[in-house]
Amino acid sequence: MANPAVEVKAIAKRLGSKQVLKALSLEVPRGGTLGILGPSGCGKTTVLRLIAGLEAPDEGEIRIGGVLVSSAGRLDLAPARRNIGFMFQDLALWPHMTVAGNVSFVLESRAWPSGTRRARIEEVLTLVGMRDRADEYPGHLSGGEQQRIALARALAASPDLLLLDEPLSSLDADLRADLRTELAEIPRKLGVTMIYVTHDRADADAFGGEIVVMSRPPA
Amino acid sequence: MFAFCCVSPILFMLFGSAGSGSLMTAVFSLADERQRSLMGNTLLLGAGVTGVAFCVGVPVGIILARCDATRIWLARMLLALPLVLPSYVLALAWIVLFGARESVLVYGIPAAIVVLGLSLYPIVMLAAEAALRTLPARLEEAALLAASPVRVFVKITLPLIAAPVSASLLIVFVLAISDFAVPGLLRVRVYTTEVFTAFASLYDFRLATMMALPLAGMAAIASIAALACLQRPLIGRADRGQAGRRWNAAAQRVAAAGALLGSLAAVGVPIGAVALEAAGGRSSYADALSIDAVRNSILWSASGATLVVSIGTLLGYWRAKAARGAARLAEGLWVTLFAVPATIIGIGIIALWNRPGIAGAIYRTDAIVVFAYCSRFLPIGALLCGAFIQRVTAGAEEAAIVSGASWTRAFTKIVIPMSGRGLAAVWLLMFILMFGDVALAILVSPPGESNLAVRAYTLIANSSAGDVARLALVQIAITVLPLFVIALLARKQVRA
Repeated sequence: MANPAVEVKAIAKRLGSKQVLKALSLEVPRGGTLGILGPSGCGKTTVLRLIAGLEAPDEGEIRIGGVLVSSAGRLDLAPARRNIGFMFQDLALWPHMTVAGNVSFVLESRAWPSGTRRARIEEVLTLVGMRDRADEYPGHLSGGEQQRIALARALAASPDLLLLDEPLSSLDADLRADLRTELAEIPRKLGVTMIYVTHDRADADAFGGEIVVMSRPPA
Repeated sequence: MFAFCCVSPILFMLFGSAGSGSLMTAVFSLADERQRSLMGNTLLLGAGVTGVAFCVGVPVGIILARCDATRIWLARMLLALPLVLPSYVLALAWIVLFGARESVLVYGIPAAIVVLGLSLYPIVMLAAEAALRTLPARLEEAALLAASPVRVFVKITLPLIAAPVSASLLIVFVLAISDFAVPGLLRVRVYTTEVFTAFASLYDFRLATMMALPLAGMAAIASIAALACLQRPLIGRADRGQAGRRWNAAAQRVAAAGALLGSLAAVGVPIGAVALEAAGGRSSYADALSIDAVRNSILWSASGATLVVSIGTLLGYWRAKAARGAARLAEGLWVTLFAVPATIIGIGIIALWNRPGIAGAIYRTDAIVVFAYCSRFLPIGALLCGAFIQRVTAGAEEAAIVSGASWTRAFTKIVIPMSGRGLAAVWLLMFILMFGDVALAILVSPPGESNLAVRAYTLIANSSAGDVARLALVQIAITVLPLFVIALLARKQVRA
């Protein structure tokens, strides 16, 4: 693949005494979508954390946009400088900040000028249908609304790469179907490269793109 | 029982017959120069100690929280040790180390601030560590994807642990302005020492009451503020299965080694100083009066701790089952009562019990000390017992009831055993706090009797430092050894 957006080469990762990943390689084209499908405990989330720079691989290397960001035992580029949006499985919304505050924190940290920040907050909240909840605190929102805010926060700074960790796992069936459709349209709408992990085949079918199937490592 | 134990002595002290009209007198007397100076000293001591506890406790708490618990258990235990050592022991170590020079830095407010700060910082350390350990790692990781670690710490981590850390600082403030032993030994004039002097030297109950009122007021305000902090929803709390962020293994190794070295210094220097001084003592470790004092200490503390845990368990159970409003009211009352300085409780007990008849007969026995300990420590004991009982799921007790067990049987066979370790820990904590008490025992001990802490405290003025250090060493050994044995057993059990 010529100049892929994400390139993972032969990475291995051990967490404690458990070998979670061994010689994993994958590539994602610019603007493409990659799904990682597999049962709980197979290391799907670890792959996302390694790409985001929240962990360093024990072996192998990771490149984003052709730039070496992680190599064996080290982070060559800090997570904050990788221009990544990450939607965590448990959302990880900051409970002491309003919805707008959650989005604004990302923009401030990436040094967006204050003039454009407000407009961007409105834009992403409109994108996820939550513009009228900007001043609410996450604790006052429903599960589905929280999910949308987490997505808005991940998209706020126009990331080159969007990582979604089990983005629909905590939703009921109706909400799941709605959000599934919306998430599937994001790469096409925004031109962003997307990697998601899921254990649900239906999610993978809806999001489309290439799919990598992982299995649980032998005990 | 609770009202009789905990509320009546305080009410009697503050508003009783001897103190009638003292509230108004106290308000007017605040304009008095002497009162203003006492108020200033007390506030300065409280604020200074809180500052020291913050500067030491928060960074150390952060270091501990970023390491695996198994890696830093010894360092944590040593770092927490100053909290269980009676504060007079640390003051004695300070005098042994620096007391050769008569200087305002050795005897005075700055010295008292440092000594009490180093005695109470573990409260802040443990609060910061607990808050960080339960703060879901994802909240910080999500921010790290956009911001530098420093910005993440300032904007995400600190605000999320602010409530428990603020509460711990307020508790430190309350304990600092309530302490009697350290200001007494380091010759600082604050409300606690002046209340004691007014009562014990001048026999002026009215003056003692008048000076106790501002102290009680300050302590109550700070404790209510602490409670308000703790009752803010703990929005950063981890869900099941989550844990706080950890440093990588290499950083943890460095941090653990640093923490261990720091803890050895924090504990080794004062204990070492006392031990060296004890080597130069002339009196026997085992003179008759000291043996009596040790026996009294153990007997009074064990009886007090047992009574506090017994009543506290019932109160805690009630609180766990009570409606939200009633539970909060009880917590507020308990925290406020615990904030009342021991000197005030002691004088209240004397005023209430030292009279002809049955009350007087009881007053002249050891039972009065145990009663005083209950008055002082039952509020905090009930809070802690309640916290452990609340961990027993309602389902466990309901399953027993559904199976045909009576309430008593479900309580004794399910609730108590399931919270047994926690209750045992509360018993040990109560024992240690009572064992190190000076302020209550010095006031209410029966004639000719004292506990170990009071004996050491009173010997300081008219005996060699080496002899006092010997008693302090015995105090340290009896306080610390059981703690270490229990910690080792607990660690073994966790590993198994």
